[in-house]
Amino acid sequence: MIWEYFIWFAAVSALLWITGSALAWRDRRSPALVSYIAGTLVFFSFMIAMWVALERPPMRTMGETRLWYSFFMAVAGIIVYSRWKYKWILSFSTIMALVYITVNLLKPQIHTKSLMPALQSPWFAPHVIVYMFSYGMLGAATIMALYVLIFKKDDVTARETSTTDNLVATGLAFLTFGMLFGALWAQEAWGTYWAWDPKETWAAITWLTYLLYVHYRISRPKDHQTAMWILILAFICLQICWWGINYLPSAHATSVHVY
Amino acid sequence: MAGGFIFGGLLSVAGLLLQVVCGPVNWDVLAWPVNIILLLVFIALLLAFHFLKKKVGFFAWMASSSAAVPSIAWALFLTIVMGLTAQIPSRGWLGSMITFWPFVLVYIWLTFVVGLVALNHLGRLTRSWNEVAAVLNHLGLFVVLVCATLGSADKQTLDMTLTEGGSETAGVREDGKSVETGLSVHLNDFIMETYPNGMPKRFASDVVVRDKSGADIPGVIDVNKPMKVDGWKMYQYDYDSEAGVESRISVLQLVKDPWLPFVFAGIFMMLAGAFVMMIVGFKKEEK
Repeated sequence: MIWEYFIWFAAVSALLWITGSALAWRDRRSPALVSYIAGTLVFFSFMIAMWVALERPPMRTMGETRLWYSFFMAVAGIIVYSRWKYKWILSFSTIMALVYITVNLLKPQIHTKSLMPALQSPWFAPHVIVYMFSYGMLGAATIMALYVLIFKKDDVTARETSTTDNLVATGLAFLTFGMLFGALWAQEAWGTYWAWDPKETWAAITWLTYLLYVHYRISRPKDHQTAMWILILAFICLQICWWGINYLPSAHATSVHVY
Repeated sequence: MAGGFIFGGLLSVAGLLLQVVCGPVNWDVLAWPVNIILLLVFIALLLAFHFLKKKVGFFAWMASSSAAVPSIAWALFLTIVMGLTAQIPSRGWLGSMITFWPFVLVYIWLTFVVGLVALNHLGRLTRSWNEVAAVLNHLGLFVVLVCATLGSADKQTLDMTLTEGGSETAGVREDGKSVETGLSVHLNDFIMETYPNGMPKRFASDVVVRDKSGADIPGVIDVNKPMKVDGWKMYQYDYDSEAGVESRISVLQLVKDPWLPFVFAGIFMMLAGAFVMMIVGFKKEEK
């Protein structure tokens, strides 16, 4: 089983990510990026190996989506670090990635080759990848929000808010892609682009919360505190939409998306 | 902005009163031509608000971010309620949020604000890429919300149960009523493949469909690969799951949704808008 090798790939990635994060704190920018990107490539190579071994996209189980999340958290860290140069961002994106890797190690799932007919669609891979990239960018936005709320109560810089805005803009754009790809796919699969299935309802909730952030920023550009709290709320909604829904009694009764 | 939150509260109270007096929203009354009349009234109202906004303060406020934020927040709140309550109509008002008046009124308000904002940005379209993104996002969402809602009553969904070797002309509606489709569908073969562990790998129907003109059209309908004849889209829906591979029964779902092309137009506008937003970000013009 390919999954038995996961811990080794994860260990090498974690080591390279932690090294990269430590180098970033010491302002060794290029070595930091090289180490961090190497860690991300090692992690990605496991995902590709899994794709090949399973003969299907590794996106069916919750554990498989967590792989993509960890990967895109690292990618978001790389993007933010190389563009805005915050030396702390790699540490946070590493922690986020490692949390979900740990969940995968503690709660492994059965990864069979079987793919139910509803998932055999050209929409499957783009729908999941676009969503997971969006989750990664919005995870980075959450890190920014936490950083501002905890460490920068009164002296938030324009650079920090603009970073957050840019992360949300990119994340929201991809969130929109993911949701609408899902709608187009549902139309092909079931003849209904939107059915208020609990997963769809929570996708709408997540989307609306990020819309609330965007419009609040335009309406009250100086009230950073409230804006950042909206991002925390949005992150919670996103996590409910992604996996929390499996534990919601309201969703369990009626959703086709519980997996 | 506080006024917007109060406005949303008043709408919700009005919705509760309507719910008590009239009962839940009956979407079926929107069937053609009621929906097109409502659409024209809605657009006329939008245009009136848009062109009189300099004269009436309330009209201008409706298109501002001070209305946008509370309308999103109220829609968000009621959608969270929907997400936390199992949507089973027998469980009372909150078990059927899409027929719950406060939910519907708040979403109509949101749609109205989105429409006004789209008109505002439309007037500034050529100023910047941000404006282009704003028009695509708001107009696209407006078209989706309006056409999906008004079109829902015109959408027909029929289940057609076929037996191998047999033909069928009618489908069954959700309420159990049988409806003639104008087609005759003959099931040659129900195809089923499984993985070694017994999970379904593929199920499909090998059919011949006789259309209105009498022509016979052969085809295979797979999950995710519907077939289109005479405006009907035919989806592989179900089979005799107890018989599994041995099933001789196939259930197709036939869908006719005349408003779908407009919903899709809105969806593609939103996709284009998200693409532009991805490239240019938002609110750069304020610098």
